[in-house]
Amino acid sequence: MTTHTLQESADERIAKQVQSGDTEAFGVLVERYEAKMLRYGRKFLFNYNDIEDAVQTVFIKAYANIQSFNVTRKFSSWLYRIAHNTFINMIKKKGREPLLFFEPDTILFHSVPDDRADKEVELRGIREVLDHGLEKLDPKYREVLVLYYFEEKDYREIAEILHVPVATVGVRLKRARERLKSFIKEEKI
Amino acid sequence: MLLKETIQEKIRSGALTMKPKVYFVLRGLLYLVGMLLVLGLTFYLIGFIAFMFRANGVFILPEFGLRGVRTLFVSLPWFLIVLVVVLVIILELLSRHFFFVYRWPIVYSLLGFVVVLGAGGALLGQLSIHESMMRLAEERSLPFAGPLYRHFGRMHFPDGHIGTILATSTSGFSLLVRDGNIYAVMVTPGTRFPHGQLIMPDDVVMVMGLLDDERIEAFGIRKIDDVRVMMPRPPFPSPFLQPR
Repeated sequence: MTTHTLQESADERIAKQVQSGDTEAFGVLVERYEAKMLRYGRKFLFNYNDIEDAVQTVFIKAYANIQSFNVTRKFSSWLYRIAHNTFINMIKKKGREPLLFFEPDTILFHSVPDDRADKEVELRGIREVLDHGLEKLDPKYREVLVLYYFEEKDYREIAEILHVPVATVGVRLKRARERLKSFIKEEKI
Repeated sequence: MLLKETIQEKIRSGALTMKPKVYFVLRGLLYLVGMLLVLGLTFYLIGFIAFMFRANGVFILPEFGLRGVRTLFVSLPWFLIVLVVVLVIILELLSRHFFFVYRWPIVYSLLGFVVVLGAGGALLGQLSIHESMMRLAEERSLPFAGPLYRHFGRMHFPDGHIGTILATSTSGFSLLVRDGNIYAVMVTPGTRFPHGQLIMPDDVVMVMGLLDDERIEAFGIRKIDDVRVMMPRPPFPSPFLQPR
């Protein structure tokens, strides 16, 4: 397959090619996701210096484990899951922020809050606010905001990335917004 | 150097290789086998606890009221119960690896495990295989599970005594308990006993009361009709045994 055709192929198709031995095709996936992974890393890992190294680790892990990728599922969710694990390991290693082994919000059933239809209207203002307030939030709230507002993932995709129930994503987003609002009030942003 | 080039350079030089598909298949199989082992062990332990309860007449204890419930509570095999809880937690953690589990709240999967394991274990506890294993364990012919059956198989209640009535008298009866001892049971006007029920020699009963120098002042007496409660046959014809 030529480079031109590769560029137009779906991620999953390219991943299948890599699995079949066309290792050069992996470069296309790196190209496609490098900027996204860097943005995800920069927003999620506040005050961490080695984000480029972490993103490189994400792609190294993705290549090493690509045979475990199920091509009938979404490649981006799989890659974001690897990134999530890599970034969480980094936070744990540095030990600067609290991370629970077990998240209580995954225990009980919550009704799924609406995956908001007015997201676009909300997006304009909230991204600016998020830039000021993200660093004050716990990693679990920060990450869900980054995935929703910057990476533009829907609830279902975020749930797949974080391995939590869809309703937990809604609950975390709601709490994250509330906490953010209170920070904004306190600091009069 | 661009990230794409760095990665491709690593791939070309052989510094970065992909793990073969068989690695993931074997890892998945190992995971599955591990889960099945934990699941099997949990089923077996719950079945064993159910057998213990049935064979030791545990379900009769609450009939003695608060005192019976207290005896039941202190006699429960807490070590085995905690072990089962730990195994269920391990199962829950292992199963959260699968999308059909992590997509649901923990309470759902935990409830699922509790219901399936509880019902399955209770059914396994009814199998007569436990009685055979208990017998083999007591004859020291059961190699692996022997210590489990010998240590936990026969429950000891601090003030509950299961035994066979050897002979009755005006003040009570003599009771052959499971360890082969014979105790004199004193029945007083305060002894709790189901109205209208008769006890006779050869009846299997549970007597609630403190043992003091081979005498038990009975707080309560209940007949055990379940033939599956473990009782040894009387080792000798009792001289006190009176014809019915």
